[in-house]
Amino acid sequence: MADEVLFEFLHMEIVSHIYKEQQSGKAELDNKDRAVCVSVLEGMGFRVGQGIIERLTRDTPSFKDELDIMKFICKDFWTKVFRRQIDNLRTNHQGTYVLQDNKFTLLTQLSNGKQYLDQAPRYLAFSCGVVRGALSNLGMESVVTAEVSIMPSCKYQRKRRSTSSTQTQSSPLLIYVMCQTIDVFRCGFLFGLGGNTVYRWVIKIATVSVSIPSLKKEKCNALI
Amino acid sequence: MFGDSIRKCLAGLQGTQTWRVGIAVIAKENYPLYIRSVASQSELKFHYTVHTSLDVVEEKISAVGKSLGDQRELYLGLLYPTEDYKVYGYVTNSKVKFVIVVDSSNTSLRDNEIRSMFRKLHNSFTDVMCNPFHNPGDPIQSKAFDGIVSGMMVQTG
Repeated sequence: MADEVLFEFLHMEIVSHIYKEQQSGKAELDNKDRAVCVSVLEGMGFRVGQGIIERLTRDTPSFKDELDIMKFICKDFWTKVFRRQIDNLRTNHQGTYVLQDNKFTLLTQLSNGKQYLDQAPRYLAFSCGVVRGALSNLGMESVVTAEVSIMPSCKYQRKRRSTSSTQTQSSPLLIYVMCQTIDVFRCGFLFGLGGNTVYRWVIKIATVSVSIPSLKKEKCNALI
Repeated sequence: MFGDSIRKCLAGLQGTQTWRVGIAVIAKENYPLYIRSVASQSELKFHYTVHTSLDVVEEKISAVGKSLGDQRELYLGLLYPTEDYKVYGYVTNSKVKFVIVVDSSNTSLRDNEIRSMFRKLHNSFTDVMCNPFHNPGDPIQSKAFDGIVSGMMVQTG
């Protein structure tokens, strides 16, 4: 049946197109360029994953917990997308999962051992994105990475996404607001307002500044 | 954008009987992706009804999570009846919520009709998600989805 290999061929073309585009005009790809290519591929996979999971979970009952979701990914999802099941799922029960596929569909045509091992990561970026997109739509924000030691077997690792990166964004806002409150104090006393009124203003501004960073955090999680 | 669809609704619904008061699609972060109500109702009241029903939806979702071994359905059933409306809810696996509000005076609408409406909504929502021109998280602007919703709103009995 031709339909099975259609996607494999298309995927190979996508990867080589992205790398060729990045290389246009340059002699060699440096690390930064390679990172750009990988993130473009991963981003494409992410959007595809979001759409696919919507279609695949249309008729399934809702999931009990994270482990249930990962089991779904290993069995039904992997079967529908890559035509086989995950061979081994390991977890530390704290949000990290390792999925092992001993005969990954997109790597079988490359080699059977260690040949072309250094080229393998570019062919895994899209699938990492697909898994990340699927998990994100199911409510599990993740960081998905893949590693290959011997082709065509590969391991996907999913870690819980930490929200610490978004917290640093809130501090500039907080500092700005605190500066404004100091001005309010000064103005208040200038205009002869009672200390009580100024105090209430300051509390209001402080509560607004506390709630705004949390809003930003939620928005970041929603967009990414 | 919602105003346009309401005006179109007005033009199309002169003289036809409508049972459905409105349909809403809410994203997993609890902001609306799509709200459509029948012209004769005040739009603000409809928005408010949908907003308050979200609490009941969250309650049902967390209650379902605690019951073990049950066949966990996507259809949530009647969320709560008010004196004017009955509100039905449905949540997908991607935590997108559908809310349908119908007239209380209409007693002929059976449970499985509401279920089939939700299935149709879910199917066309899946199509919208797979549309490459739609960004997940953006308000739904697909004309096909509009068409399905209008079809459901003007149906009688």
